[in-house]
Amino acid sequence: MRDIFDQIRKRMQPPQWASWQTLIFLSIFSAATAALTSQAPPQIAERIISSLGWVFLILGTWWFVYEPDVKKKLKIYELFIGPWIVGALICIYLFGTWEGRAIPAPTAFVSWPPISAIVWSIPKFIQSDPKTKSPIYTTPTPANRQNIILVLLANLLISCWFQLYFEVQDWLAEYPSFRAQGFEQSAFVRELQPPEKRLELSRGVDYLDAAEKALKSQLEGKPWAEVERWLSNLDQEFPTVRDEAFAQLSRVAENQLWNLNARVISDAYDLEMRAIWQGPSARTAEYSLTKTCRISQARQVSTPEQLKFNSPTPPALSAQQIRSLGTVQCGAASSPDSLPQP
Amino acid sequence: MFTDVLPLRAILFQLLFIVLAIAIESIVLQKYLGIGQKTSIQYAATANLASTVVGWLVFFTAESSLPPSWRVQLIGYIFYDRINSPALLIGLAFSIFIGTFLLKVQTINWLDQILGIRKPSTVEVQDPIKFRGRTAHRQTFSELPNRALGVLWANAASFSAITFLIAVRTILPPTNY
Repeated sequence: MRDIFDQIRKRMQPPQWASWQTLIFLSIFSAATAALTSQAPPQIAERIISSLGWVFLILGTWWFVYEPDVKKKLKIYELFIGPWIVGALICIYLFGTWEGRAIPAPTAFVSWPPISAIVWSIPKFIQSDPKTKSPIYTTPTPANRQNIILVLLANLLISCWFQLYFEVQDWLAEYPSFRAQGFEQSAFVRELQPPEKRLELSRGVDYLDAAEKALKSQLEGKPWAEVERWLSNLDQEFPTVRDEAFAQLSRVAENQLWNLNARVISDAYDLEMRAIWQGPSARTAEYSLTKTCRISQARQVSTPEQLKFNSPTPPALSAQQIRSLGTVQCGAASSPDSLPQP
Repeated sequence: MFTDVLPLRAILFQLLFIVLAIAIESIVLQKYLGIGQKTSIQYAATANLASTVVGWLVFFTAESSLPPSWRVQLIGYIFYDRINSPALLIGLAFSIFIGTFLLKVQTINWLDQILGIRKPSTVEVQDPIKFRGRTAHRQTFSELPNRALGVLWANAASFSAITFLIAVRTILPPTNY
């Protein structure tokens, strides 16, 4: 029994009190303590202790990656990646994770390369005093100064690329329909996996679906004469459908770039609705989506209403009658692009 | 929220252009200023990286302050490689050329200060004091390598090469790289 404890102790005990293991243990201890403190909203104690835990973790890792054995193993093609590991921890501590998930926040990504470059350059500013062995500040040699400048600039460039990625994500959140036309021509961006169905990425489809709903609420079940009047006055009547559909769209900056119009394309009352993208287009032709709705009359034999005695109209007047009502049947939205390529 | 649309092509082209520009500019600077190979590569690498980073910073600040219609045009250019007015593009390219030239001259001056390199011009100006003949006088005036002019030539050479590559890319049919 004692042997087991001795072994555990031998394994756990840091070789020296001043070592990276001590710092890592302190960090684990702080994390455990922080977990035990009260979960009440201000959480001041928890925050202080967990911050201490992070600081110990960062310092411990920093120390660890600069251990000679570890330093040798952490080299990729002569490049020592230790500073970037330490930099990553510093950035996660400073900027946290994105909406509490496992992904670090955008700021953490963007600031990771320059902070790592600073971590990388710190040893160049420090020299050990030959007599007292204590670290003292020193100005780097000209060769090192040049290296520091180049490493810092290269890392700033990498963080600009990270920023560009997040910028593109912002654009796609504000203008999602850009994806519908594909980025094959772009000199800047590339989709890792081009989606199979591009059309569904366009919010024009949503717009047309909303318009279909609005159209049905306008025409379905209306007397046929009224429907025909509506269709002949399409230019005056359609804006209501457009506004109703527009109101149903989720609010994104891109909405300003969509327009919707309609025309009757056959005598059997095929109404073609067209959602037109007024933003930049991948081709010279304008990009638009269409949806065709057939508006027809359905004959409905009204059930004998005279059985309803609570009806206010006198039963005798509402004898059996045939009414023709409007019905709307719509196809799926389509675009010229969605046709199979020859 | 985060999509798989990555600026991979931008990164690829930028790496290619920076390496190309450093190679070309270091050769031009070496020939024009009569400096060593190492110094010329240091100058070219620092100046190009610095101007690229500053260029991105300008882009990010400008992008966020553009009016929506311009912003949409910019996004269209980046996503579809199409632009309404080529004149605007040419004007922008010209001002970028002037901007990078000024920035590169300034970066090289700062680099001299930081690294403690003596400017070649100050070394050579002191020389003619020995012989105060007419020929020496004329040499200091006209044949002294002018750094700003050297940087201008280097910048012109690298911009020409990059423009040529962009032109080739525009002419060639699109390939999915």
